[in-house]
Amino acid sequence: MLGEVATKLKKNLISFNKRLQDRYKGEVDFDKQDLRERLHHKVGKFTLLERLSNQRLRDWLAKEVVVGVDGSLNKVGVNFPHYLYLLQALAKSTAQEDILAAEVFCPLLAEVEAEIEQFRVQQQQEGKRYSQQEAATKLRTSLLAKLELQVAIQAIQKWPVKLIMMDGSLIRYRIEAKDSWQQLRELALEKGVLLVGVIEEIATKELGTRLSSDLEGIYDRELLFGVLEVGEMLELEFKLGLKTAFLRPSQDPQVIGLDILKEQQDKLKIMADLIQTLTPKSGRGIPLWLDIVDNEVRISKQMVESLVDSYLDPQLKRRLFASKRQERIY
Amino acid sequence: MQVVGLTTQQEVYVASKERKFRSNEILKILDSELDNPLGEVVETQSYNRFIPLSIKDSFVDKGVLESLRSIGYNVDEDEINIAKVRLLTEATYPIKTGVAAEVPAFTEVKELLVKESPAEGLVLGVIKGTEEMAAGMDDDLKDVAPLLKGKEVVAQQGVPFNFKLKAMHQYPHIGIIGGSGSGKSFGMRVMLEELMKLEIPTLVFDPHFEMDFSEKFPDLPTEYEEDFESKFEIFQVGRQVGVNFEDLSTKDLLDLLSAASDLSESMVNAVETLHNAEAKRDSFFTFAERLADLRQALELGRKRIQRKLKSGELSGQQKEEYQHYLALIDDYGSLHLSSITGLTWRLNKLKRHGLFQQSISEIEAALQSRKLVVVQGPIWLLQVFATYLLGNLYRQRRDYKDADYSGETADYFPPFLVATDEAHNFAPKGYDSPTKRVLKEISQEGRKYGVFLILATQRPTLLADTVTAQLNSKFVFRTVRASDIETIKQETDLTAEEAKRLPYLSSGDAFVSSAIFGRTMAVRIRVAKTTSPHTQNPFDELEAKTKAKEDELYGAIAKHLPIYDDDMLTELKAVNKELEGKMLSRNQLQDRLETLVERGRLKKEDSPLGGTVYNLG
Ligand SMILES: Nc1ncnc2c1ncn2[C@@H]1O[C@H](COP(=O)(O)OP(=O)(O)O)[C@@H](O)[C@H]1O
Ligand SMILES: [Mg+2]
Repeated sequence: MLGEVATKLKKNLISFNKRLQDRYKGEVDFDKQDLRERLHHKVGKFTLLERLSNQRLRDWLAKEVVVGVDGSLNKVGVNFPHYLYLLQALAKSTAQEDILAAEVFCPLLAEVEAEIEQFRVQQQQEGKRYSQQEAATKLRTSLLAKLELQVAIQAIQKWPVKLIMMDGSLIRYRIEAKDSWQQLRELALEKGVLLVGVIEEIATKELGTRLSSDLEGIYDRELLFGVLEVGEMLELEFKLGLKTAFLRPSQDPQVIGLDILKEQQDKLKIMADLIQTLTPKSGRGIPLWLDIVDNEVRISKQMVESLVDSYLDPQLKRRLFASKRQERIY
Repeated sequence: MQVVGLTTQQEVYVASKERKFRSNEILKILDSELDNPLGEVVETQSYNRFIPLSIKDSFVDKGVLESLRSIGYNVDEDEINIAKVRLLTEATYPIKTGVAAEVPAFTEVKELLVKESPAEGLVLGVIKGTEEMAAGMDDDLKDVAPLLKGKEVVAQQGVPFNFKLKAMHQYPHIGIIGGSGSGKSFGMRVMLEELMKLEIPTLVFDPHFEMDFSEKFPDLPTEYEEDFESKFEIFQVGRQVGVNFEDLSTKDLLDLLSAASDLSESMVNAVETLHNAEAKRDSFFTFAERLADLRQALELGRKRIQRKLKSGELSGQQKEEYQHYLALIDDYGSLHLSSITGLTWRLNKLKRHGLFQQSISEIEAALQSRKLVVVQGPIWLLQVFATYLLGNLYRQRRDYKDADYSGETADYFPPFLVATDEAHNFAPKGYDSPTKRVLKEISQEGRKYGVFLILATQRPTLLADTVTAQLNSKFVFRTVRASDIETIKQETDLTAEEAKRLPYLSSGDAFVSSAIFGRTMAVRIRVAKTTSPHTQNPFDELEAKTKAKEDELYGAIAKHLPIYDDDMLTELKAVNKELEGKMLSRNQLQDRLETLVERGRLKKEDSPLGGTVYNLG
């Protein structure tokens, strides 16, 4: 029985692989040199990054700190509206200080229900239609973005911050939590705090469009795969008010992205140098500092369960959040 | 400090970023619905989430860690300390996750930790993990248990561990278990010092000749010094103490002889027949003579004796002798010559070691005056003697108590403790031995009469189960051997975690599993106030002796330098005069001179007169 399922899946995978190969056939064989030249002419310049010496780092930072910001999301329950999310955002400074913010998001609460309705009405006026479920998802996403921005703002207010590293693209914050984003942006500019978003999973399709019509629609991550040398960066501009760069800080051929404020573009090089310096050479290309923050903000599944068990009425918990699916034993 | 993760009614995990946990410290869990229960740290862990594991799939390389450090972030500090805490009493439902935990104040745990005042109990050391709460202690608990750290005596850290001696009435007998070098003898010494402090009559069998309390512990600050000189006496078996043969019952004698070497059936039979055979108590002399005569008689044989008597060639005294032989053959002819020979050999062995020269009266007197008595001897002789001595003293105490219970008057004999190292030799598992019988009896019945045991052994597995089972308090020191750890697990209430720690304990650290405390306590034994007379390293001793000899010679010849080798004989006389009682030959002197040259204390030069000359180096 099990064998039969596996055999079928195997067949499917083989044919899937073939179709992928067909689709990418032409492109996978890009001439790397040719592509680099075209990128150079039509997109932006390549820069070689440095690994900063320890002395250089200390001098550059003087008495200030680097802050990493990340958020985490844990879900209890499965289907709308019978779930709850535990949201956490953490700003961690290199001086071993933390600012933590947390929220619970649950569509079952009256005020959240009202918020969902209000959001749908608002969107409808702009001509967009959202189901309750989609609206809830949007609200929750924006709540998390807001929490992250808030801890970042507090960090600037409390600590002598040189640079804030956010996990993910800055554009996401602008879209998901406009007001808080504005606030952070202004504060950062006013206090001269450098802001950088580090994007692990690049999802844009910017480069192909600029290069030629036959490359249109290809994801940037596919196009740049293996094209940059280790420690190389490609700068470009396409997001409103932001400056973007792709770089390959480790041996992993996959590139990562950086977003910075346009106003701070003269500092791009040093920011990228820093990112590169803090990224393990043989790693997957993410600065260790962000990994540390990520690790710390994340709540383990076990912890979530025990928190929920301790603080939720077991009767209610079972009635509202237990799902048949969860009870299944695999 | 905060409770994290899953909790049960028995156990919780407490985590802290700032504070490291100590094994065995007591924490208060602030779950008010459960009345803030107390728990003991049974396992500690510190871990750093970033070293040395890889995070997700990226290995952390050194360079990056260095860079992070340069921007002020030290990964090493990002450490989380976690303690597994076992509640002292089971909670009615699981502890709430997330509640805080704190170090309790001394008053909150006093009852758990202090069962007796230092003045009344045995102050044996400190309770581990109580360092932080010790500040709030009553004054009489402070500064009573200085510790030894390396070679240095340091102040008491934590709450003192006071063993409630009076509770032995209810929970008798102490075991001291641990591998070689784990601190048993040291712990025993501390225990004995405390017994002397309280002037408890104590009998110590000392097979290692180490229990002397005259010498103060090196570098012990004067405020801790204590003079035990008037509180103990040392006796050596066969020198100052021995067995009074006339007091021996036949059973005693059998025990003694069998301790010298095992007895055969027919030897036992022979002793039973021959001892006190003439309706009065034998002295050593009368008994030994009877054995010798019988042996002679058996060697001659009835026929030869009769023939000799008939032959008429015997003079008056010889005739009497042969008539005596004949009478012996008549009475004991059925005994085997080989048994008699064997018994003679055993008896002589005991005599040779002086066993029958003295009595135990000095020991009795010392115990009566509440002293500690150390009995020394080689282990086999000690066993022989202990069998007799213990049987005797125990009987005296029992007779007194039995008489007392039944309202009669009897001579007073005080309650007493018996302490011995190498207890598995005295009460071995698996085979019978005379000492085992008496120790077993005391272990089972001693409580009634106020006779208690302190038994130390490095091989609990070899100690008789019946005795082990009666040890209500056990001090378990470092133990590495798996079979012994297994025995300890069975015979104590050490938890699996504690048993796991046994191989790693430092010398002087022990778990005390005692019915008196009702739970296992981790303690560190205090520094002893006295030291064993032969703690000197034998190799240091060797060096020191050589040096002393050399110094003596050097002193003797220094005045006579320079010494010319062709004039050595003249100098030899002078040197020999200086060396009291020793005479060196010419060659020996030259030999020694060469040695001193080798050691750089003299130098050897060509003499301007020809030959060589030894002179100051
Ligand atoms: N309570 C203690 N504090 C400090 N050091 C100790 C303590 N007990 C033992 N030691 C050290 O360990 C050594 C061995 O102890 P000892 O009692 O002779 O071991 P054992 O009798 O178990 O073979 C001692 O010489 C001493 O250096
Ligand atoms: Mg010893």
